[in-house]
Amino acid sequence: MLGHLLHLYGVSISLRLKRYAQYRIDAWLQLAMRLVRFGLQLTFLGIAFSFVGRLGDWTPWEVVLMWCTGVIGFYIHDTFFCFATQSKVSFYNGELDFALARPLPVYLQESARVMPLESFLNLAFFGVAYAIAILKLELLLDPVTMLLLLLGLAASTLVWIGISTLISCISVWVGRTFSLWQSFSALNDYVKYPLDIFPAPLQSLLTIIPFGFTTFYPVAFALRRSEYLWPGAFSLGVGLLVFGLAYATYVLALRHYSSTGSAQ
Amino acid sequence: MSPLRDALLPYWGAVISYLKVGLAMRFNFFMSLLVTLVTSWVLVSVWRVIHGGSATVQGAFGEEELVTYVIVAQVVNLARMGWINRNIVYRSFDYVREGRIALDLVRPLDLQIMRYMEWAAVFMVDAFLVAVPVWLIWFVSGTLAPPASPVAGLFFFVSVALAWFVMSGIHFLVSLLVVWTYDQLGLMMVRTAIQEFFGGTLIPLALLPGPLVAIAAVMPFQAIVYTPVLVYLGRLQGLELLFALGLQAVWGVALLLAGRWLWGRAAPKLEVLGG
Repeated sequence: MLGHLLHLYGVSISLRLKRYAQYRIDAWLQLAMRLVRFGLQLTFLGIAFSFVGRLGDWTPWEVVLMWCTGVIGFYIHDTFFCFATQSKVSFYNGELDFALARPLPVYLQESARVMPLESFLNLAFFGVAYAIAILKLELLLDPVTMLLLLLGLAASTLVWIGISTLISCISVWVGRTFSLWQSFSALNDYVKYPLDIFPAPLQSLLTIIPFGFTTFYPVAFALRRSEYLWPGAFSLGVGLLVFGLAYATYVLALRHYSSTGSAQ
Repeated sequence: MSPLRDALLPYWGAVISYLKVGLAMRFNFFMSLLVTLVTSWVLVSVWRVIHGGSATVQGAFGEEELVTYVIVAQVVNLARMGWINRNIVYRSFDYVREGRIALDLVRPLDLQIMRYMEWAAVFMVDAFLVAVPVWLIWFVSGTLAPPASPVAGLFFFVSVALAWFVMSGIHFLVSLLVVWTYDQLGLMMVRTAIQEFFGGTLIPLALLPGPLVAIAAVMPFQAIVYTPVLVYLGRLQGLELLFALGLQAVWGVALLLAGRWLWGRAAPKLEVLGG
């Protein structure tokens, strides 16, 4: 059953990629724009480190690893599970009838149907940056650290899917939630720094809104296990908790879904 | 009535309409306020760490001055992600793609002036609901210093108004590019990134390496954030201040003319049936 679902999901994604291949100029343009954007963000980090060498107790490549963990989690969610982001419109406008009639889970169908190319490109870009950071930090031959880093990526992805799905699903009850999502995703650009350089209230805020579990905590735990046992070791648990909460809300939202939409 | 007033009166409707729309979207601005507060808090924390560990940064700015710079740069950051940018860029894109721009073209109004007026209204709502509250919160908390002097405060407002003029020129140019690219999100992101970097929102331009300063100097983005913030800090005075304000005005006019020129090239390519 799972194999069949994954096969159908794979077919949907390949159809989407074929469609993108027909618009090559747009694809290259999007890639160039993303490179400029992230190049400038990396330049900012480079300049910051040219002044201080370390940010708090963290080296440049450690910060890059944190940043990439958060961003890769975000873009795995936004590439392969983008229904989490897109569904706020589908629920609001009542656009799920077609998907509900098909024998594949709505979440996967819609994610494959609207998979954004730019997210895929971003994912590729940060995947390369992540690999470089791992090589620079000489972590490749340390299996425990590598495993923890991978679990960190899973935690980051789960938190992002959870936050995104939650915000989308509540549109069934409260109407438009686009600005709420955009605000959360905009913060994504600013949570790449090590949390422990922030004042305590800001650290608490970014722990309660669990952005800290997308970047800092899982990587800090992987790199310095004894120092960041709490809350680093619980990153995956937090990810599962947020995801579980979001999934329950999603099921509830589907039950309350109406073809007429929830426009108010 | 004066001829200028006669000419501008029809555009007043666009301003009022956008003011109403903006004020109706209070939740969007509330979220924008929260994001701006958290963003400025994060950046202040990062720059405090950098300032504490770098003699170079300490030589360029005192800690209070640097913190004030970072917050005021966020207050006047016209590139911030939020309803403003989303509305301006998405609307321009949808109008071109779906052919709805035809409605604007049949109006007896100049498209460029109409857009500038709409953005003036949006800018006013953003200033009222986001910029001023952020400034007040930081000021009341004692983190942010007031303008260096009453004169600096007065010219700060002049400089911000000129920054809007420059920003509108950039908005107009970028919104026309969708005629060729059809990719509004990428355009918006790359413009935001370039503008925040070379405008001095993230890093004071004085702290950039030489080659990047040279690049920033020939771009219009410094006129949007860097100049108003330097005026606020009282770093520009006398002839230097007048020159900086004059340069902002020159950039605004140059972008206005560039927009006119590009509109001349873009208009024949528009397809009113969409596409």
